[in-house]
Amino acid sequence: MTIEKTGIKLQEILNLDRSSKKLIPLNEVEITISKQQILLAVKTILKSGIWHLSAITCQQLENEFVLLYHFWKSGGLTLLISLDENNLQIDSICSLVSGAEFYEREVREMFGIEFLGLPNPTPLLLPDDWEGGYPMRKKEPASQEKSNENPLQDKGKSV
Amino acid sequence: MSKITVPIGPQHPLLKEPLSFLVTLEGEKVTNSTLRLGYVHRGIEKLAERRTYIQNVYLIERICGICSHIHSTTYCQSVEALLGLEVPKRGLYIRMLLCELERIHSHLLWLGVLSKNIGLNTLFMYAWRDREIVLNIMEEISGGRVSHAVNIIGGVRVDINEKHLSLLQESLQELTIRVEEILRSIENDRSFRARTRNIGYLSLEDIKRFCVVGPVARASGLDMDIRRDAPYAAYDELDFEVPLMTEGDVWARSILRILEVIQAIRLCTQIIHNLPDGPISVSAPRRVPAGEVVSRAEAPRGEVFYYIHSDDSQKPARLKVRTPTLTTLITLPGQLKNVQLADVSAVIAGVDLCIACADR
Amino acid sequence: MNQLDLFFRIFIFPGFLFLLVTALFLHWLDRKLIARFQGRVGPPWYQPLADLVKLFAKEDILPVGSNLFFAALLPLISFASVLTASFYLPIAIQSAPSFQGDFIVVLFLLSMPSLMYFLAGWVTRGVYSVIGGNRALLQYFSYEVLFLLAMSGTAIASGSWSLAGIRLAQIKESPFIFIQIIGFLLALSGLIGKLKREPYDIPKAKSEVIAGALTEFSGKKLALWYLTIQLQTMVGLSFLIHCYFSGFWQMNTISGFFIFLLLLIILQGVLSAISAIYARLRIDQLVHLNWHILIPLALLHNIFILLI
Repeated sequence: MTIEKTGIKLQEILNLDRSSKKLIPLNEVEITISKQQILLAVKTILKSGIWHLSAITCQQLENEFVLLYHFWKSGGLTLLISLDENNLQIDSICSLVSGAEFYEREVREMFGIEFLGLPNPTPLLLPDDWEGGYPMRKKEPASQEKSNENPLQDKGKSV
Repeated sequence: MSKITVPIGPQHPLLKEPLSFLVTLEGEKVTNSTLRLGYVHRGIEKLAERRTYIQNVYLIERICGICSHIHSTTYCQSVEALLGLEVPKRGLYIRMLLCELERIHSHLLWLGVLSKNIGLNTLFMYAWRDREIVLNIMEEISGGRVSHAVNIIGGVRVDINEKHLSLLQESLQELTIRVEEILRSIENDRSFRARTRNIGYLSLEDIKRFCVVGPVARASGLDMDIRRDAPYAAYDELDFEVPLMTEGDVWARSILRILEVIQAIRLCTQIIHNLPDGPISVSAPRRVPAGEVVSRAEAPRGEVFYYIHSDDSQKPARLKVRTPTLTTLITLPGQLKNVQLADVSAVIAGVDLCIACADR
Repeated sequence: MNQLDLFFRIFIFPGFLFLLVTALFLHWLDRKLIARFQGRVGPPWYQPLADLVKLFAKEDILPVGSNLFFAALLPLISFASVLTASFYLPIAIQSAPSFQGDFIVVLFLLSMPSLMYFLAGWVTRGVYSVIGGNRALLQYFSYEVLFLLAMSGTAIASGSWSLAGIRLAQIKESPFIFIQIIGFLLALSGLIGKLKREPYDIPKAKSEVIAGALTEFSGKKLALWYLTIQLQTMVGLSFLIHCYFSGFWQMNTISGFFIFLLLLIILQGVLSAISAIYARLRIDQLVHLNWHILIPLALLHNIFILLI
C-alpha cells in the first residue's frame, strides 16, 4: 500500500480528524496521534506493508515533548506524538519492530523518556558512569562536572 | 573447555574506530557477545543547536571522515527545502559527482580493510593503491582528499573546468580496468571464498525485522536504494542499476560492493558527459522560516536520515541525524553467534562499520 | 692451529656470524619480494638489522603475574636449539660431523621453537597470548607430522638415518628432487606451517590475536624471538636443500657454496610468493587440509618410495 493510502487508513482506524495530517517537505506525510494509539498505529502500518523504520526523534518544546516515528516506503510517513512533561511514558514498539531498540535507548538516555517494555534499557552512547542528567534537554549542560581520571586503571610496574 | 572473554576493542588492530566487543569463547567458538558504543560520541546534535545553519555545514561534515560529503549534501538539501530554494542543475550534478566518487572511495577502503582482516595483505595493498586514483581526483576538484567542504546552502562552492574533466575521464578509465580485475580476483580466489563464504549470514526476515539498510541489506535480497526509489539531487535524470544478491553472507556483500563501484563509475561517466551549464549556486538567506523537513540520501553504507525542525531563527531548534551503521550494528551479536574466533574479524569487517557515524 | 680453525668455524663461517648474516639477508629478501608483489617498494637492505638493534634498546616489560624466569629462559632455549640444529647440517656445503640418527635430532631441534612459543603464551598470561599459544600447539600437531613424514621419504630412499648417508645416496644415483618432487612440495608446505608464515600464520594473526603468544614480549626477549624465527627459516631451508638437492655439488668448494646460496634464494622466493598470494586459513580449515589431504598424500608417497 502506498503512503497516501496508509495515511487515509490510519485516519479511519484511529478516528483522527483532517487537521492531524499534513505534508512536510521532501515528500513526507506527518500524522499526529495520541500516545495511547501508538501500538495500534504501528500495527496498522506494518500490516499495510510498510516495515522500514528510519528513526525515532524526540524534541523538547516549551511545555511538552514531541516524539516522531519516521517510517518509509518510497515515500515517508511520520507519526507525531506529544507527551506531557510530567508524564514521560510511552509503550515501546520493540515487540513489533525489533530495529527500534537502539533508537529508543538513545531517546531514553538523552531525554529521559520511559519506554515501557524496552528489552535492554541500558545506555547506548553515554558512558556507564554518567552523572550529568539528560544531555539533550534544553536547560541541561552538555557535559558533566567530573574529572577524567579512570578509577579502574591499574598502574602496573615494569620488569 | 573453559570460557575465556576476549575483549575486542576499544583498541584493537581489527577496528578502525573504537568500539567495545566482549566476546565469550569456548575453545574457538563464540558463544556470546556484548556490544558497547559511545567511545566517539561528540554530541553533534546538541552542538548543532547552538550554531547557525551556515556554521552547521562545517560541523555536519565532521561527523564522519569517509561519508562526509553525503552528510553535508543531506543537510544542505533539507535546509534548502525549508528555504524553498532551488539549486541550479550544474550544482546538483557536481554534488552527485562527489557523492559517487565518495562511494567508490569508501568501498575500496572497505575492501582493503576486509582483506587485511582475513590475512590477504596483497588485496589490501592493491585496493588502497587504486583508492589513490579517486583521492587524487577529489583533491584536484575540491582541495581535500577526504573532507571536501564543497557543499554550501544553496549549491556548491567549487566548479569543474576542462582540466578536471579530462583528468576525470582518464582516471575513470584506469579505475574501471583495475576494479574489474579486483572483481574477478574476488570471485575466483579460493582462499578468499574459504574465509568469507557462509559467514555472517543474515536472512531477509532478519533484515526487515531490524530495518537494516545499505549493501548489507541488498546482499540479502532487499531491493532498497534511495537514489532510485526517492531520487534526490538529480538522480532521476541518470541511468543506473542497483545490484542485488541473495546469498546474504560476507562474500555476497563483497561482490555487491564492487558491483556498486562499477555502477558508480558508470554514473560518474554520465555526469561528466551531461554536465549542464549555468551557475553552481544561489544565495541563501540566513534566517530560516519555521517548519520541519525530513530528508534522506544514500550514503555508501545505506540510508542516511536527517530531520530538522526550525523555529524562525538562524539556528535550528532540533537537528536529528540517523546514520546507517546504527542499523547494521544491531545485527552483529546475532551474526557472531556460534562463529569461530577467526571469523569474528571477517564478520566485523563485512558489515563495514563507521563508528564515528554511529556515535555522532 | 686446530683451536683457531675450530674458533673460526664455530663463530665466523659457517658458524654464528655467517648464519646471522644469511638469516637477516633472507628475511630482507622475503620482505622485499612480498612488497614488490604487493606493488610497494619494500625496505632497504639494512632493515632487519636495524629492527633488531632497535629492539635491543627498548624497555622490557611484562604483565604482573607472569613468570619472569621462564619468560627470559624460553627465547634463549628456542634460539639455542635452532643454533644447535645448524651444527649438524652441512650449511654452505661445509662438511659437518654426522652420525646415525642426526636426521631425527635436527628435526627435533627444529621443532623446539614451536613448543617454546606455546609455553611463552602460557607464561605471560594475557588473553591473546594464551589463545595464540593454543593455536600454535594445534598447528604443531598437524605440521610436524607432515614435515616428518615428507622428509622421511628421503631417509627411506637412502636407507640411512644420517645426513651424510642421505647425501651419499644422492651422489650415487641422482638428487632426490627429481623422483620425490611431491615429497619436496609437502615438506615445503610443512615448513611454512612450522615457520608460521602466511597462509598458516594463525597463531600470530594480527587481526584476531594481536600478536599471538608474543603479544606481551618486548625488548631483548622479542629480539631473540625474531632472530629465532629468521634463523629457523634459514636452517629449515638448508635442511630441505641438503635432503633433496645434494647431488649437485662437491663439499667444501666455492662453486658448491654459490649453488647453495642460489638455491636458498630461489626457495625463499617461492615462500614469499606463496605468502603474498593466499589469505590466512582458519584453524579448522588448516587441520582439515592437513589430516584429510596432505598427510595421506605423504603416506602414499612414502609407500611408493619404499616400493621402488
